[in-house]
This record gives sequence, C-alpha cells and structure tokens, in this order.
Amino acid sequence: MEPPSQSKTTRIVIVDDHAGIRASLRTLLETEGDYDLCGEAENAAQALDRIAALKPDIAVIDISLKGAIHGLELTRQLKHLHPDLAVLVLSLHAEAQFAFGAIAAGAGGYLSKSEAGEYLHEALATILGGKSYVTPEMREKMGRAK
Amino acid sequence: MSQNANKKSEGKSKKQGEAAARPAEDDLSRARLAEIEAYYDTAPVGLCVLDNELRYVRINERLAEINGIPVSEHLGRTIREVLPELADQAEPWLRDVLETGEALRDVEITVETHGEEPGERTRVENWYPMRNEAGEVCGINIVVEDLTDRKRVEEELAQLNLELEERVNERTQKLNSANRELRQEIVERRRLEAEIVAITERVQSRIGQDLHDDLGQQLSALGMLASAIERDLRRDLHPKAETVARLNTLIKGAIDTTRGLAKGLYPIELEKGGFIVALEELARVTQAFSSVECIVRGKATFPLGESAAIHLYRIAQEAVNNALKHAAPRQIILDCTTVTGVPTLTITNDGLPFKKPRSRRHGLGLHILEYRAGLLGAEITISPGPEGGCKLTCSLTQHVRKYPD
Repeated sequence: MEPPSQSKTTRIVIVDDHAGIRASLRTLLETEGDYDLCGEAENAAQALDRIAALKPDIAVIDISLKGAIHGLELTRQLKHLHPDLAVLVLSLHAEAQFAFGAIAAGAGGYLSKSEAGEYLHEALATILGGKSYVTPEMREKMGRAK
Repeated sequence: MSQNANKKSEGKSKKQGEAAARPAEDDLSRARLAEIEAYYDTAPVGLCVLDNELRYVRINERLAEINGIPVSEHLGRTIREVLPELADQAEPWLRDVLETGEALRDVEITVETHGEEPGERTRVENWYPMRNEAGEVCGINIVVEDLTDRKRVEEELAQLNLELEERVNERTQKLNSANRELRQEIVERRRLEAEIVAITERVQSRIGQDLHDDLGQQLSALGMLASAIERDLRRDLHPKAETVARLNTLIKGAIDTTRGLAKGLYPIELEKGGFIVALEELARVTQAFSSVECIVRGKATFPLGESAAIHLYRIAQEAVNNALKHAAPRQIILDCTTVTGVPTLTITNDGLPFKKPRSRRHGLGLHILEYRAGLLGAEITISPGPEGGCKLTCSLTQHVRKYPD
C-alpha cells in the first residue's frame, strides 16, 4: 500500500453497531488531522456495501458487531476484497488475544475503545504509514502472552 | 426195668421241679403284665385293641379322652357304635388290615367329637395286626396320636406367618413407595439445583454482557468525547483542559471497573480465548482489584466443552473469591496440570488456614462449588497449603470427553 501524501484527505468509514461510539469517533476525528468521515455502517453487510461504493482509505471496525459476521470476519473479507484498504480494529476488550486475532485477520492495528481518545490519531497515522499499530501497553501484553 | 424205673423217676423228679418253678414264673408274668398295663393305661398316646368285628376289646384313658367318650362306653362296642364318623373313614382300611395282615401307618383322620372339648379333632393312627398262636389275624392293635393341638398351633403359626408376611409386604411396599418418592425428590432437587445454577449463569452472563456491551460502550463513547473536548481545550490553552482530563481519567477508571465486573459475571475469554486465557484474565483482574499477587502457573490444556469450561472457571473464581474474603493471602496461585493422567486444577493461597463452615447456609459457596464439581464428574479436596493458607484441588477424574458441552 502506498503511503498517502500529506495533502490528500484520508477517507474513513466507521463500522460500529453503537450509535454513541460512532458519534464520539466522529467528534474525535474532527478535532485533529485531515480526515473525511465519508461513511458509517452499523453491521457487516452495510460495511461491505458502503466500503465497496465509497472506497475509503481506512476502515475503523468494531470487533463485536451484531449479526452473523463479527468484526474479525469482516476484516478478513474486506482485506480479501480490497487489499489496499487499511483496517483499524476497535474493541472494548483490552486482552492480548483479541489483538492477535485482529492482526491475524489482516488488520493494521488494534485499539481498545477506552484508549481511543488518547491513541486514535496516532494509530490511524501509523497504519496509514504502512506500519502496524498497538499501544505500548498492548504490545507488552502481547509479548507476555507469546 | 431199672433203667425204665430210673427214667420214670427222673421224669417225675423233673416234673416236680417244673411244678416248683411255675409259681415263680407266674408271679413274674403277672408283675410284667401289671407293668405293661400300667404303661398302657398311662401312655401319652391313645391305645386300643379291636377284635375281628372291630369291637373295642381294650382302650386306654388317653384314647377315651381323645374320643371324648369314657373307657367303659367303648368296651364291647364296635367303632361304628361308638364313633360312626370315625367308622365311615376307618372301617374300610381296618378291614384291609384284618384281611391282609399288613400294618397301616400314619393314617390321618379328622372326626367330630363330643367330649369335654367338642369339635373337630385330627388324629394320626397306626394300625398293627394282632395274630393268635396259629398266626391268624385276630384283631388290630391301634396307636392314636391326637394332632389337633399341634395342628391348631401349626395353623396359628401359619396364620401368624401369613400375617407377618402381609405386614412385611405392606411395609416393604410402603418403604418402596417412600424410596421411590425420595428418589424422585432427589432427582427433582438435582434438577432444581442444576436449573438454579443454569439460571444464575444465564442471569450473570446477561448482566455481564449488558455491562460490557452497553454500559462499557456508553462509557467508552463518553471517554472519546471527553478526550475530544480535552484536545480542543488544550489547543486553545483553556484553563478547564485539566478538569476535562481528570474527567477523562475517571471515565477510564469507570470503564476498567465495568470491565472487571463484566468479566466476573461473564468471562468472555472462555468463549474467545479458551480456559487458560480466561484464567489468566481472572488472575490479572484479581491482582488489579485486590493488590494480591495472583498468577497462573501450570497451563495444561484440558479439552473441555463450553459448559464444562464455565463450571471449572466458576470453581476457580469461587476459590479465588473465598481466598480474598476469608484468608487475607499475599499470593494466590492457579495451576492447571495433569496429575497421574488426571487433569487437575489447584488454587493455592498462603493466607489463613481454611475453616470448615459452621452450617450449610454459611458454606453455600462451598456447596455450589462442590455441586459444580459434581456436574463435571470432578472431585474437590481442600487441604492445608504448603505455606499456610489452603489448597483447593479439583481433579477431573472422569474422562474429559465425557464432560457436558
């Protein structure tokens, strides 16, 4: 994946079944960086449709989506359909095995929702820069769990 | 002649000797006869002699008593004249004895008598033919034993046995019925216990999931908003930025608490990461919330179904909670190992020794713990720990493939 140029606006799609989270992410993204929140989806089916139509640079996906397809499966399908799409998996879970699962599914990064306020911009920038991202605390947990 | 004379003289002398001996022999015979008659009259069994016409020639007191008729009313009379009912039954056989000269033994006869104890009496008779000097049958010697009392006792005994048997049967039926009811009650109680555990599990899971998925999401959304506001305020160098930062810290604390509570109620790691991951998370949360060092040592993998895993997890959780509540430990060790082929979970603490609960109510946690172990076919033992405190061992003695899913 080519790193985006500084001048290019980053197009983002948020996939989360909780309206409050989507609203807060919107607000958070508005505070910093050059992001275009081009679409939202509350389940996997909507996400597949909208991402195919909108062709965003990055998708922020909740791991626990309602319905038959959860966030990790959606990530796998999206990476298969859109290999250039960057994915950040967002989750309420702060345990290492979820981060391992997200990376294995093809996500560029994993972020706990409780850490999103502090690390979301850093995570997006790192992933868009072509590197994988987890917080230092999560990195430590993953190291212990290996 | 002289020889003849001598012979005559010898014969005379012999006859004189015999004549002299006869009175002594007669005395002896009379004494013996008297003795025999005394035996005859006082014998405990009935005795009589019948002639060829079946007349009573001789009868003792005992038989007269059995017949309920005095001795004098027997003598010279036929049995038909004395006891017609007896004659109806006995005459053909008695005539057989007279004709064949063969004895008949143990003939059981029941007749109505009219003596001091009137009523039906059962007797057993033995008939022996009597012969004269020519060897001809000249009568019948009869021995009679009255079985009435023995029969009555036997019947009473049989009746008592029957009643006893009926009572035993009745009691057995009642016991069987009580046993069935008890078994049904046990089955019902086990079913209810299982249902209570299942309902508790469902309610806990539901509350846990609601806490995690709903309250956790809302708090996370709040946290993100607070972060956004804090970011804006800092950019504007606003003095309230610090206040919002504190608010954000509190929200994060609330998220952690919610997560901890949710995990206690619904260990999602079991579903997502397996038993050991869930156990590690239990250790992490325990340490974070209690400041007691809690570690998972052995990490043997047990092939448990989901339901079995949750029961084993709850056993570990209950043991950890009990240790925190009662033992004031510095360290809790969770250990999954295989001991002589048996998958074994041990929870060891180094705190105060284990005290057996005072009552079932006080030991409810322990009871539920044992119940869960029972569902797994596991055995729970509690022993002193190597460094004080106690060690709870849960041995999964049944083959793991038998565990419920």
